[in-house]
Amino acid sequence: MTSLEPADLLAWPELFLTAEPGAPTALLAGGCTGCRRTAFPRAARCPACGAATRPTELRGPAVLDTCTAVLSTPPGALVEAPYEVGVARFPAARICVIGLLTERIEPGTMVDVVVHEPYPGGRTFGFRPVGAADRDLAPGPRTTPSAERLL
Amino acid sequence: MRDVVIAGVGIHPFGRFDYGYRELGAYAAEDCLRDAGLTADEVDLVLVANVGAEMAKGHNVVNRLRHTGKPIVNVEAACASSGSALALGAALISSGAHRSVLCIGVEKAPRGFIGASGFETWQIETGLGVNPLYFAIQAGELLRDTEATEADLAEVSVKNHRHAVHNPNAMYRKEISREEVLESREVCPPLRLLLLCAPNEGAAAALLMHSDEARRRGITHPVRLTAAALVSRGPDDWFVPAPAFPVDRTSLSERAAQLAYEQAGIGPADVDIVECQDTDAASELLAYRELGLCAPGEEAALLRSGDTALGGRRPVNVSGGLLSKGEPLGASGLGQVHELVTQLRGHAGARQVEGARVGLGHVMGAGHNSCVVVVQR
Repeated sequence: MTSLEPADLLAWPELFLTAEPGAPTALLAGGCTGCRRTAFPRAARCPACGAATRPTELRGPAVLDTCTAVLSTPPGALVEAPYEVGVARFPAARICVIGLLTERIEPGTMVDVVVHEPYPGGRTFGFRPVGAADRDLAPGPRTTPSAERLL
Repeated sequence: MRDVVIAGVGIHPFGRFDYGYRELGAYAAEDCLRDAGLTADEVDLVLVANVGAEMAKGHNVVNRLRHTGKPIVNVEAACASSGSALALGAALISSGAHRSVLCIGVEKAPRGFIGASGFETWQIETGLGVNPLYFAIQAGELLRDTEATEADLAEVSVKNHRHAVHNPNAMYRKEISREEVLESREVCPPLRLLLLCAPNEGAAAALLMHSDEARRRGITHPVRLTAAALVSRGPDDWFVPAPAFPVDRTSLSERAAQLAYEQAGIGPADVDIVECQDTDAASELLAYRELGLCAPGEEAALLRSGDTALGGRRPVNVSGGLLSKGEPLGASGLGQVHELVTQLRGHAGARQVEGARVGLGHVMGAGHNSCVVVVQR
């Protein structure tokens, strides 16, 4: 058990590496040095066992496990409905993260973590199908790799 | 848990009303005290569960009854608020600290999405701070991982609305069809409007008493409170508002249920009637598994068997559940207890579960907390 300064609890941790919208990024998580669990957002001490954490980056490809959508804009939201939301599973870190989807994506699709601009000037992380950036630049049918092909 | 009985219960119907939370709470409290044959000044302690009202809310409710000079404590744990008050009251009686505790749950929620569920600012601004989204994720997993279908989700709502026809305390007392449910407006797929409960207003109360005190007062055949298990987030749990969870996550409700069964010295097979947290239809199916009523994967089969409907082997939400009563957050758990006690007394009329002797109530709240109670004749 490492000591935790009270001041460590005052700052809200960064969620992802800053970049331009659409660029690949990483979620900033904490890997526990004791129980090996991963926490997102990052915490100075593991919420599960209390041991120290080391900075860990969650990068794609991840697997989109489930998805849904929000069809009415909730109070306080700056993003306007409708919009898609999904759960991305990072198998190596054994953690699932809820985030906005850049487009409608079928469960089982491999996704990257990207910087997403859900409203003008807003920056957050989002999940985008692997290969979608290339696809959007190229003509032809839109297909996204399935988890079975990439894992 | 030993020596704790429920000497009285009271309720103000759940719905929408043109008076305030103080009146709602006072009504349920007085209804409860009359049921027990006590006056407010005879109660040692009052615990008041509420989520959204002002400061000193419990004091404002009790002041409607009498200025007793006795301690009043406010309790808040989201949807598990009144379950938490009940667990706290039971512990204080078991410990000998008090001989009678009046637990009141009351809420007057605004219409629309429930706000302030503990989300971080970034979640709210990016549209991730909305409760049905999290229930929809669970529902999606249920449909993906089990035999449950959207028709099964609809059937849960149909069943609970059918039950509510006979409950004068429910907000919606009209039967609905599977087609009506499946054609209702999508909120967060696969969840639709009629698959979700409505936050609303109401109040409920229960008077807890030491069994010796109940005997001294001549309260005969009270219902015993044999378990009140309260748990919060464990290392691998997930619920609103957490933005992430372990791949191998665990269930708060399952842990609360196991603890409750241990406290009561019974198992799931001993339970005659269940009131569970059907915030949405999928949550009821998940509760079948979490409360040990069926094995994982058999949720839909249990529903289709008819066992969880009135007349079945172990009816669930014969009150109509939250899907039909609506959910006044601070009162929902005590509303369940009111129903269970009414059933165990044999006073439930057309919705009576014949021969019910063991009842289980289950609530689950934002911020990660769950309470499971067991009541027995």
